[in-house]
Amino acid sequence: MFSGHRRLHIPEILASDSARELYGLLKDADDWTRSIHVETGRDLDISVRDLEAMPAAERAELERSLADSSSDSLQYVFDTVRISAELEAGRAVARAMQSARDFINSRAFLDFVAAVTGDDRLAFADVMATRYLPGHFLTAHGDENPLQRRLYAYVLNLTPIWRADWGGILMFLDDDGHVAEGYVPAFNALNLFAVPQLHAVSMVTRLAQTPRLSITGWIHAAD
Amino acid sequence: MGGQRTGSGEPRIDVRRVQVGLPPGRLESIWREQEQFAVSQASADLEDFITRALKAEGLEAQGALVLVRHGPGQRGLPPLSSAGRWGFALDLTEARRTMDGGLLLFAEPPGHVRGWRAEAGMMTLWRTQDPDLTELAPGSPDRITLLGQARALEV
Repeated sequence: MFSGHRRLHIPEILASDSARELYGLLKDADDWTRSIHVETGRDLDISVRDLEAMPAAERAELERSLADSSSDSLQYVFDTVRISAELEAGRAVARAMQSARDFINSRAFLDFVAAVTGDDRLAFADVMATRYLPGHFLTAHGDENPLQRRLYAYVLNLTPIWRADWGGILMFLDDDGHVAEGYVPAFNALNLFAVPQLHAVSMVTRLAQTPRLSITGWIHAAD
Repeated sequence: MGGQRTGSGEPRIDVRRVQVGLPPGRLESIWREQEQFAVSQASADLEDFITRALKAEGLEAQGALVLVRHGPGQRGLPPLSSAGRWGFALDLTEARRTMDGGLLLFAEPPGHVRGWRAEAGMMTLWRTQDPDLTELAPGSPDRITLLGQARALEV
């Protein structure tokens, strides 16, 4: 099934207790970083705690200047904990987040992905947690990065209840920018797709009653 | 590891897309603001235009035609009852980028969607279920759509 469009939606990927535990951890996490694409070569990562501590007028001015400055085709705003990067930099992350990183990098998981994709080049994965709040989005891009040898991207959705009209849909776009296929976030479902592949995350709407929480990243070939 | 896998199959929704062009003349309307969009009545010229476009597809309009205008932050469509009939949307504003939002999205159970960005003069026809229109991004241009229902022309 993967071979057709080189993407797959796999429900119930984790044992339900594990998925619920991971969801609880992401829901309660308080070390999010807001990641904003400002313009080519200029991305802004700012602690959400620091952002929320800003005076309202200063914060509004920052958000306005960011909105005005970016006209690139790749734009995004979402919250993240870059688990792999933090660990590689020697900084601590919550134990369960480290467990998530270890699980995604386990031989069992990589072998599973190898079996699904028919690809035996998988060496390791980088892992981050993401949180999309109303107004957050990721515009169309392909994820290609030859230097990093990304083979596949994955998104493990962990929000228990989600509705399509809340947005946050992982959309795969055709050459004309239409939505060839989209996956509505579903609890404990793994979305897996080959890189490069044009995709986007639709803006989470104000209707959303809960954050869109995921563990996501790329699976790489050996260096 | 994992339950029943889905995705990447053939489309399961009943949707047709036809480029019919834009009606001549300026689009002038008196808009009535609602919570998620503004609505207006279609002019007689616009009714004539869509009648011809539908006829070419073997269809005729049924019931009221509604013009819908979405601005940034607005979303959704007025309710239609298209069971057993065709619903249609004619894009009346310029082609939009995917990132502008305002995508016409159709649900494909379980948990999948398929959809289209707006293209000037494109008529989307569907049966069995109504689409959703995604929220327009901040700073995006307005999207104006002619919305209605149709049935097969009796021969």
